Amino acid sequence: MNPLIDNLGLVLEALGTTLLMAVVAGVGSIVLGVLVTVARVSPIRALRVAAFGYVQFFINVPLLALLLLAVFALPDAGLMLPLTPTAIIVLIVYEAAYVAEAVRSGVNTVAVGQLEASRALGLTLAQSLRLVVLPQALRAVVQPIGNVMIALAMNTALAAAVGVVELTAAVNKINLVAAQPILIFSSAGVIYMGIALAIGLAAGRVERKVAIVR
Amino acid sequence: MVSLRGVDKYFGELHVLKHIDLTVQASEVVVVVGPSGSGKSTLCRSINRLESIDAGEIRVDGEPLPVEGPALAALRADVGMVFQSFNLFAHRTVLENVTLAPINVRRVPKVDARREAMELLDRVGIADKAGHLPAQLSGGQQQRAAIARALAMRPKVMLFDEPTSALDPEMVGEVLDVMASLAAEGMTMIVVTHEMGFARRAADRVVFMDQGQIVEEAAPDQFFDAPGSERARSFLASVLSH
Amino acid sequence: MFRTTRRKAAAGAVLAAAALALTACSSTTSLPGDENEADATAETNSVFADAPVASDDLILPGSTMEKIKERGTLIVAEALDAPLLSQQNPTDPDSVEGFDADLAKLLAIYILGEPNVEIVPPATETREAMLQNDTVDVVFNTYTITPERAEQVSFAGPYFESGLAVAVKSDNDEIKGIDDLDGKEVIVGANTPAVTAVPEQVPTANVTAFATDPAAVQALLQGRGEAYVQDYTLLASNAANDPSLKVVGTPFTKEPYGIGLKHDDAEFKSFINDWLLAIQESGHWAEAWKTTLGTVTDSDVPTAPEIGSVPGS
Ligand SMILES: Nc1ncnc2c1ncn2[C@@H]1O[C@H](COP(=O)(O)OP(=O)(O)OP(=O)(O)O)[C@@H](O)[C@H]1O
Ligand SMILES: [Mg+2]
Repeated sequence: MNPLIDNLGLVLEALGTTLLMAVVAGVGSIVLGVLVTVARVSPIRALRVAAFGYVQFFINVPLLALLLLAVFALPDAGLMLPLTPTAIIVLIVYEAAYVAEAVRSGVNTVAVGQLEASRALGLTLAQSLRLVVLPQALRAVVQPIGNVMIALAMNTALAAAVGVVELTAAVNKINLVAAQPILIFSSAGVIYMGIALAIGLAAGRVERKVAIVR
Repeated sequence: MVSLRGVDKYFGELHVLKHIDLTVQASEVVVVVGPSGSGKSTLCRSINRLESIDAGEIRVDGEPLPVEGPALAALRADVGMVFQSFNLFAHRTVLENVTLAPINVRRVPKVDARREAMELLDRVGIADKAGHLPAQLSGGQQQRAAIARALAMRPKVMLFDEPTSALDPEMVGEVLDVMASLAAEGMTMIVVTHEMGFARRAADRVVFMDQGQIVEEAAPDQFFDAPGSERARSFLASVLSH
Repeated sequence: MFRTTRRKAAAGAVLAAAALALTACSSTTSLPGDENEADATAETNSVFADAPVASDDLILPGSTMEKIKERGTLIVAEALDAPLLSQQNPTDPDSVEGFDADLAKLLAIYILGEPNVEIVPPATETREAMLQNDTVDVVFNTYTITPERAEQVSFAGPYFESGLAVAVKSDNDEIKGIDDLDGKEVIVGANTPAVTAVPEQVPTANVTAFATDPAAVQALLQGRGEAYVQDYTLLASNAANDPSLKVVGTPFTKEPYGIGLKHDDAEFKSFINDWLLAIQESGHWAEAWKTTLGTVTDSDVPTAPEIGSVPGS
């Protein structure tokens, strides 16, 4: 009945690619985003400027443009990676900017006294950030980071434009034959909604678990 | 143990510390008093370089204060500090607050760190709160936890910046008692406080600051009974009148 | 099919899928600046001179034709970036040029007496929906007639027959046609018939789909694949513009293009089929071909396919 069910194998395989991209890029962007935030609050001016520039650049350049650049311009510079890894890397560096913005807002919620207390105890700046500031900052921004992860999962669809056979590409392909766009894309939309919902619920759980009582 | 020589500090135009000279001997308890805004906190914070100074020299245990970096961290490890607002790590239990620095800075094995932390918490009377988060403690308990946290580093000197000012009156005593017992055990202490009773009871010396200057240094009895300066007299008159 | 060249539409489509296609179907319909009224130059163009106009008795009361005539414009789903077929002139955005675009104007003239066409750029994914919910009157969009699609929409025509062909880099002497693609990396345009045709013909080929024709060409030249399978005419046009690729072999599929209209609108369908015959007889069909698709091949004007000749039409 539903063409997506008739093509279940293709859909599941493509969904697997979508989830793989979302998970790998999600983890990668959180790690990179935190590092960018660290650079942004570091005492080294050059690092701060670089991190600020990084965030501004990636927040202001469309993801599709970055994907096209990475897929079509890098080979001209002599660097040709397979498509899916390329898309994942682009998603990581792109979403890391949004993660960094979220984490920075979390850092701002951590009272200066926390940093002063840890420095006064003899922790180095790196230790203070790692053990005191970032754990608190991250706990404060679980939901915003969850939202970035939802956006990331949705943004994996753009990889369809550069040849990655993820869910959207597979669904397009199925519709090409079945020609029932409303049914097919609604169904795909429901799958994406499911992914978003799962991330949102997970973020909610994590948030409740790690929330700091003040 | 701690010596300041000709220390000047500005916040922009504002001259907050004006050529401060102060020496604190080992095991000495120095209480710093003075009107609000006189520079007491700044003095205290400059000793472990939470504030940098613009001129002069500060030595701790004979060593000049290092500039940023690992050497400064090592010095801070030897100088305990207790803040007005406690500043306990909000995401860690009381026990973890106390063990964090010994484990990560002193590299004390976790088991030993925990054992020593429990001893300290017991000593400040909150061993039963070890597993609680700071927010679950009263102000007095939090401040005692903060003192235990600082002591866990076995500091050579302890700095207290108005440790009881944020407390409800009924909790002030429990914190001052801990501090008094520390003093009695021979800890070198610099205490900024408005608690004149504590100053009289526990201090070896009282330092009176006003407008960024040390106006008077004297033994507590002498300072409280016969202040040498007009400014100290009017300050005492105002704090003791209520 | 040339929908691969619509970068914006493809990106929009991708997002649409991510966001929930239902709403996206109509969201493409109201882009500002997409309305394209034929301008004076188009009217004086030889393609449109003396173009057939339906007599009043053909505009049946209560029919779709009458509705269009009352409205005064024909609303067409057609691309804005398909070279030779339906491409917005970059220096004159009001002018959309190509075979599909010209036929749409000819149809407008047939109904209205003047080439009043309002263009709604479709995503390949949304054409059926646009017809079903009356967003557009007709689809001129290299819309290959298939039985599956004919269950959702009706097709007038076919009005043109094309086919898929193979392009390779100019220095490739190994691949001579579709039969040499066994086990090869093959590039196709996303949402083109090649997506399904290549695996059918060459099950061992490894197919990668790119959203736009320029992207696919770039991928071929950068070596992400050894061959690019696409509509013959579009490949011919690419090869004419860029000596670094060439078309090998002859088309290996037949793609009959139809005019998409609302399912089971029999009146409108036979009306359009009559119009197709009229412009074939009058030579306007041939003239439209000559000035568009005909400019990149040496061949003579092809014979128009027989109306109703393919399953689904
Ligand atoms: N970070 C800062 N930037 C600018 N000015 C500051 C800063 N910290 C303190 N000051 C100013 O320096 C002066 C001394 O401040 P300090 O906190 O040392 O006073 P204090 O004696 O501790 O006062 P209190 O009894 O109210 O705590 C005050 O005028 C204060 O406003
Ligand atoms: Mg103060």
